Amino acid sequence: MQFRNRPFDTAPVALKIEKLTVRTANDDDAVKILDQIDVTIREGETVCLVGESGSGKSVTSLAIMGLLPKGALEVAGGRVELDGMNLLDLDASTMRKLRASRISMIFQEPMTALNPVMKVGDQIEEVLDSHTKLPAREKKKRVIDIMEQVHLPDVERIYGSYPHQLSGGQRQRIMIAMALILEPKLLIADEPTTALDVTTQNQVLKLIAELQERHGTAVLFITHDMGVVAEIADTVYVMRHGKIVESAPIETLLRSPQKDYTRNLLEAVPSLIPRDARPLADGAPALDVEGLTKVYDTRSFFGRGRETRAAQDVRFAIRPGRTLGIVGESGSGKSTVARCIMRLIDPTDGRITVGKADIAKLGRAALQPHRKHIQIVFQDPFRSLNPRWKVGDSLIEGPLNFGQSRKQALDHARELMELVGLPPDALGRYPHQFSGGQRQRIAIARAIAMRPDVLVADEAVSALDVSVQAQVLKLLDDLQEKLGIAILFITHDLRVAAQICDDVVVMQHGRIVEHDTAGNVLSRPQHEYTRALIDAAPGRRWDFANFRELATA
Amino acid sequence: MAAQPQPTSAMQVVLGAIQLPRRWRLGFGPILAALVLIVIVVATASAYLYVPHNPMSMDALQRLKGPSETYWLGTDPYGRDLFSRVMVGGQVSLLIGVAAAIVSVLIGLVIGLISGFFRMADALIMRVMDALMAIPSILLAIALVALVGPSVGSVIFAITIPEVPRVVRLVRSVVLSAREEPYVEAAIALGSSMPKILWKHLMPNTLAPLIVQGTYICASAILTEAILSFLGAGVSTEIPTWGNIMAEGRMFFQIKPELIFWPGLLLSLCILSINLLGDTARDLLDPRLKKREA
Amino acid sequence: MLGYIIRRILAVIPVMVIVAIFVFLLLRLTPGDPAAIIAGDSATPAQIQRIRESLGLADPLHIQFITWMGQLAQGDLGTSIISNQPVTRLIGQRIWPTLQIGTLTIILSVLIAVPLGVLAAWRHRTWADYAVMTFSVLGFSIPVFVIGYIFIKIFAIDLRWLPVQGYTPPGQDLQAFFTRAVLPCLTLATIYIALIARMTRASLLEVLGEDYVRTARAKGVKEHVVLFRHALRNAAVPIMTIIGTGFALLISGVVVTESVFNIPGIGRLTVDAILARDYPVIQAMILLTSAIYVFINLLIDISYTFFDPRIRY
Repeated sequence: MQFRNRPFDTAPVALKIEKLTVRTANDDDAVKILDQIDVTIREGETVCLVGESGSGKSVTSLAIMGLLPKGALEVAGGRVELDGMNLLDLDASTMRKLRASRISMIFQEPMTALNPVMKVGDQIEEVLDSHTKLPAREKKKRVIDIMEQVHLPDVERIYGSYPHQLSGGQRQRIMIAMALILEPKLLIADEPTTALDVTTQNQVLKLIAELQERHGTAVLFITHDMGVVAEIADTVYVMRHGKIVESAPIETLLRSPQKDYTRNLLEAVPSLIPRDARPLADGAPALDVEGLTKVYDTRSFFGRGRETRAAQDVRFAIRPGRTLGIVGESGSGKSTVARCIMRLIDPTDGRITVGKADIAKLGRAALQPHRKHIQIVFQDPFRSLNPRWKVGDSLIEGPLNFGQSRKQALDHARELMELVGLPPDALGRYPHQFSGGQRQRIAIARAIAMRPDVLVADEAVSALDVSVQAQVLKLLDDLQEKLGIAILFITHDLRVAAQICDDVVVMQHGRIVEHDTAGNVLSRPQHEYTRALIDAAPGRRWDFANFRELATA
Repeated sequence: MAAQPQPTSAMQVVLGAIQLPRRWRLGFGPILAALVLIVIVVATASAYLYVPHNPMSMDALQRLKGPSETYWLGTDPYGRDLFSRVMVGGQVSLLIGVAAAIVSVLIGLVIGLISGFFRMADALIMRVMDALMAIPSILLAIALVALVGPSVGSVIFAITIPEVPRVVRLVRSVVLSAREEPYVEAAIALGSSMPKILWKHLMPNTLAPLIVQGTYICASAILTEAILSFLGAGVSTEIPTWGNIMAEGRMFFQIKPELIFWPGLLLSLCILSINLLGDTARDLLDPRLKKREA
Repeated sequence: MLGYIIRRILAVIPVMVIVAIFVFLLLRLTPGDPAAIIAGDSATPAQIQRIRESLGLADPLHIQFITWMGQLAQGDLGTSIISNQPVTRLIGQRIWPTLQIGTLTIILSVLIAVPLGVLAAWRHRTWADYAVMTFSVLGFSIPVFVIGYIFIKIFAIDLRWLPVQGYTPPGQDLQAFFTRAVLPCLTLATIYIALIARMTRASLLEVLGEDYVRTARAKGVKEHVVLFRHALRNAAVPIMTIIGTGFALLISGVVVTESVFNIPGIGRLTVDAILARDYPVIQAMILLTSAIYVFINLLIDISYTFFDPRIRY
């Protein structure tokens, strides 16, 4: 693995944060969100601020920019030094003049971060309007120039486009162009690639590095993804609960982390090396999908029907006790397949055999008895449980539908709580009293309560922090071993797929492009698209859990 | 389709944590509004226990008198005691407000649930609701009262009908967004029947917005009753209501404006309190409602 | 975009047809003999018979409907029972004062309400915000005619600045028109301003919390540019929507205000028709005002394409 490993000790300091403390603006019981943070960023350096949700990394970036939400958070002490000034002392108008000219920022979600009713060219030009007095022609020239620097195609057309007409990657390039047009000293990037597909992420990371090189910008990069850190960081700061746990040059940190928290964080990063496949049982597949197709008709007013083939001729089978993963980027059709199989949407064509019955075309009533054989766990643990229901009621909802008595169902629910590692009194509580990981365990218990043959996990660990992710994956693995369920695991994350799947299906544009054992797909990919996906996975040459390079086979 | 990880930022966690206690801290306004409303409701409901005169008894010798010890607010053009009439008149006005709110919310809830969940019915129901909303509510109410007659029941009916489409739209929009929630999809996967999902998962989502909407309807119904009476299309003039008392005062406005101002003041205070309480309920129950209902 | 506009226009047709059916059925499905109801308690059998014939109530329902729709299609809104004149002519005579007062009110309301709403959102949780919100709640809570009488009492009777009531056509004496239009317009505008200001504030507050507003601030854009160029334009669609739906309130207000200020517009025509139980006029007014409401909202729907480039389907 090639780290950046550039020495920065002699470079001038771009930004120095000393003992920065931020607390809630609620006077009576103020909570410290940031507690005496020290960060130093030198010119040309990339500093990664890494931490799990709630660690305070985003608050740090907003505090530097002076954009903390008014009335909610306030700075309680410390210094943020740039060009010899303490940014925290500046008045609003001076601070405004520094933004975009000395420090600029890009955000996570490029769709919502751009004004939907303004042309993107105008949005870039607005930076020049706010900070310079250039003639109109000069301004346009500079905008076109920076748009070319961020490698946008067909610059003249995109200049006059609205954000919704561009792809996610293009939007993030616009954001970067906006941030860098005045050549600021410091660029703050708050999870700028988290909402992007892995191949796009790779391109955007390369672009930031390229522009940084060209302009000598210092970059403060905020992320939760250790893979990304390994790719781009010079120096890493690990944050937890508003404090810096540890900071070190990237290679030092990855090879010999000093603090337990950092070690645990690194150990939780799933490896790209595929797990050993589970034993292949004899007998019929628990789920058999053939020729599954889903076509959406988008009829325009004048009758020119346009078809979107969200899934086409998808076929695979899963035997009991095995896990099949469907991987792909957004728009690949992987979730469409999951929803068709669950019959949450109606497939256009194909067969879905669960046990012995083909459920693809059954009507609502005919489908009902088959529902108990196949269950689903969703991505978002905060929305997958009814917030008004006690956990116990959610757990017994299914069994009651299939004729169990309340008492029977509750007894079983109590056993299930133990099985997923939650106390039995959890049944009497409401979802908001649990963390995301715990809720996902409850959602799994609810699915298992039906004693299904097939469990569909639709991005079931994607919304979780990496340490929690590892625990939930382990839980699924244990449950599968105990109960012999077949699992269909939908994910965009190759690392997660490598950890849990026996077989992998790769989807692109609604079609399966590769279908093989996890070992073959990940180590000897046949299809060009699979190879591109694997190449784009950040930090793929590093074995985080073992603090060393990946042993190449 | 967005299947990318979206870790909750520290910010969202923090904002959620600190806003909760603040949201529940009531201001001075809502408490005052509640007190005013309670006083008005108790005073009008018990009016017959303490009013000094029969609100219906006319006295040709005492027409349009000013305030005195016998007639605290003076008398109306028929020599009836204004104070007694205003206090008693509140009974019917408030009754109409509360009844219209309850009936329109109930009808709207049923139609809205059906519309939100059954696509077949939805298109037709929503066209009918669009049409009903296109008819200005006062004119519709006038036409209904003109046809059904000037009884209290028909005024409630006439005020209710134009309010129903708004409730239907509200319920439908809540149901449409709630049915996309993963917990509803999970219920489908768990084999729960459609009526069960509708009633146990979706309907509870509509309660908070409906309580808020109900208070607004109550306020607007009291207002509409006054306007209908003012236009001569309200409850029969023999029954004192705030609207009827003001309507009778019209002709004598330049001589004796109190005939309109006293009932008008009480009515406005009452509606103001209900509206303020509605706003408070909305902020407490669901800050996101602000946009849906303005 | 053309597709969107055509679809919006076509969507108006079913709504108007349903309104027409509704108005038709309103009279026919009423329990009892509609002719007797319209004629009133003291009517002679001959009068009832005359009304029954003039409204064509003797025919079977579907024949009545076909005749009625046929008449509507030719622009025939029926004949007044009282004056025996075609309703269209009555409306034609009375519509100008209403249109003048109505247009003035809309312009006045939008010009006052939108800046008030912007101010309240910009100065969120300050006295300016509380003042606007208080005005807005008051505007919702006082009946239109009470507001009208308060204005008359203060500005016409006590201060003697303006005439109490009445109407002068602008072609006859422009100054007299305006002095007499001020109070009715203010009266009518109160609730409309309250509504629009409230919505402007709410949607602006929502937009000010959006990511792209944060982006604009992170770009170092000046605060007033953030407010007007970024926030207000994004808040425009809900504001336009409320201007459209609030139009129904305006129509109700017109009916009341015209009788408070004694203005010979179609609002007064309606009130007179109610008192005289002139059902064909009431019916025509419902149809006419619904059509105006639907038309205004159609224009507003089409205006969305100007504010939001995403509406192009």
